[in-house]
Amino acid sequence: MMRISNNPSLKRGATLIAVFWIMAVMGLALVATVKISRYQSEVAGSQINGIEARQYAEMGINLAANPAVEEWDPILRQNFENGAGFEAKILSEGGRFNINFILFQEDKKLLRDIFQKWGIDFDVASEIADALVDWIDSDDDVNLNGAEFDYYEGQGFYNRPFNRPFYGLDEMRLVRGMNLVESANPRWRDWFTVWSSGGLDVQEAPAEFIAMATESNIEETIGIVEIVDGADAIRNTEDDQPLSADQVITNLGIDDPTGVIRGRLNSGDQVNRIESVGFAGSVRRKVVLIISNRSRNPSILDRKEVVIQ
Amino acid sequence: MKQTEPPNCSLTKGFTLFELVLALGIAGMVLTSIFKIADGAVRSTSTMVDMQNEDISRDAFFSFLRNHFDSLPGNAVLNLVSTSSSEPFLSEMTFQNTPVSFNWGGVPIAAEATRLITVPTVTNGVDIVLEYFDDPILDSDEGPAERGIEPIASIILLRDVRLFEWSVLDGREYNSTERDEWPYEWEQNNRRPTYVELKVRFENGDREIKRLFWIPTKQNPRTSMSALQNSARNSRQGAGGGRPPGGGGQGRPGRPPEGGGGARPGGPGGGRPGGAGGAGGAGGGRPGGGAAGGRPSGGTGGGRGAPPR
Repeated sequence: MMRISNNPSLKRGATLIAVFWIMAVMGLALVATVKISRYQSEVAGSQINGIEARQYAEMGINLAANPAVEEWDPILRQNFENGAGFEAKILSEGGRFNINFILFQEDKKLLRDIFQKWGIDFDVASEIADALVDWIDSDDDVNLNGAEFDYYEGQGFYNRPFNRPFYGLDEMRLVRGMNLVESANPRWRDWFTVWSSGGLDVQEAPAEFIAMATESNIEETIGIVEIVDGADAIRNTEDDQPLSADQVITNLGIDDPTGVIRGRLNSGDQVNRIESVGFAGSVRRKVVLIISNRSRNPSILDRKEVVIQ
Repeated sequence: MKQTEPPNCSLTKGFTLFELVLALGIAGMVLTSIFKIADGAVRSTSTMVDMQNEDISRDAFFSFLRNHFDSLPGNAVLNLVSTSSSEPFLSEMTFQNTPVSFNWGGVPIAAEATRLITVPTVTNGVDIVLEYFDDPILDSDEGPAERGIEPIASIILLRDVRLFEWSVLDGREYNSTERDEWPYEWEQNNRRPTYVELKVRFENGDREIKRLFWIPTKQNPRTSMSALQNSARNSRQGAGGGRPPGGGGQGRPGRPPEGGGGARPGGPGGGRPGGAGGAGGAGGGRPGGGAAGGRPSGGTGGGRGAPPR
């Protein structure tokens, strides 16, 4: 007859293995619980940071909208102890091409030049320029290569063109051919505005835009920007040297008997773009406000929260 | 007599049936508990992911609304009517002159009007539906359905919500309106409320969530575009140019005037149907006038819709 072994060392071994199993299982449960808690805490923290970042962005907007605050004022950039803060900028909306102004002037050449610079073929650029003019003019007469109601009706759109100026850059995307522009330059919105008060503001525009508007070499317009930026070579500082549109034309030595180039330029635009980025933790929020007459009787033209790339 | 040899020592040290059964039983219990814990962990993770997805979709909904209210153009018309006096409270919020406000996913849409409506469900909840219209729907006392205007597209934004209730505040009446007495209706088509509050409860047993949206008072884009057009005309004349496009007024003849359109009665008082309705108000825009000979605006059944103002 076999006897049950009473070897105590074997019993201790089995117990040890059982304890290991229990510890492993409990460890797994613990790790899972900790991970879930950490994840939930991160999500909650991110949401709180998002709210906080938006509030700081709004704080920057409020400060920058104050007419007493200048573009270079350090109050526009603040960091707080908890690592949160904001950075606001006061820019001129005139530093971009006003698409409505260009179209009101029927300045198709400027549009063609811009589109061609982005690599669009001359003929296609002409078609897009004509379609843009047709979009805002009040008649139904089709420009040479334009697109009026009949074209859009054929595409299934019965309320296009709007036959009024663009009220937002998103509306430009509805025009025939703008998909090609978007493909050629996905950042085309950075070039245009609908809110400035006229031509390109030579005090605010980058050298590339001034070169395009004046049909000059960029090397020459870089010199103009350097004059405007002043001794510190930084825009929107106290030593900036404002130039008028006429001075720019003179400095560039442009012969403009028809006044077309002069008509594209402006100086001291009263429409401001205030961009404020609030941050908290790793979260950032950006609010953009476009106002006219900031220094006198301001009115809001546009306001939006934009995604930070 | 030959003595039998004692049994092999190694055999006597083997496990008995009882030990094996006991070991299998313990192993079974341990495995079962491991499985239960692992299953519980997977379930809780899955539940957590579901909850996170729900939270994300709810946050996206609120962000969508916030961005929309934030970016309403200065000439946008907002109309809010309450269509049910008992639970579930039903409402229709209509936007007009916001042709590209509800774009998403990179697809440009140009709707004449958009409407956010609540549709009752069989479980006594409501679906939140966004409808796009190709025709203006606030230009008549009759609703779009009565006029045979069907939405060109509908999207269900939220399903089977328990409570979805709008209220609005006119900024001019901020001091005279108690916080819990904001009207449930807004039918002034020539101006917008300053704040819009949404009360929502997603599930039974959930807490009620309140979201407050600010509608910034913006300048009517027609005003700034008119000034811009004059500026372009002057600039063009200075350059010896010809006729600027869009001259003689913006937009196609036959449209209702700016800010008008709505002929619905009722004012800022609002209140649910059956309650204290608002009296008077600034409804009743003139019917579409303008120069003779224009295409008729609106129209259904394949007719040409009026372009957005």
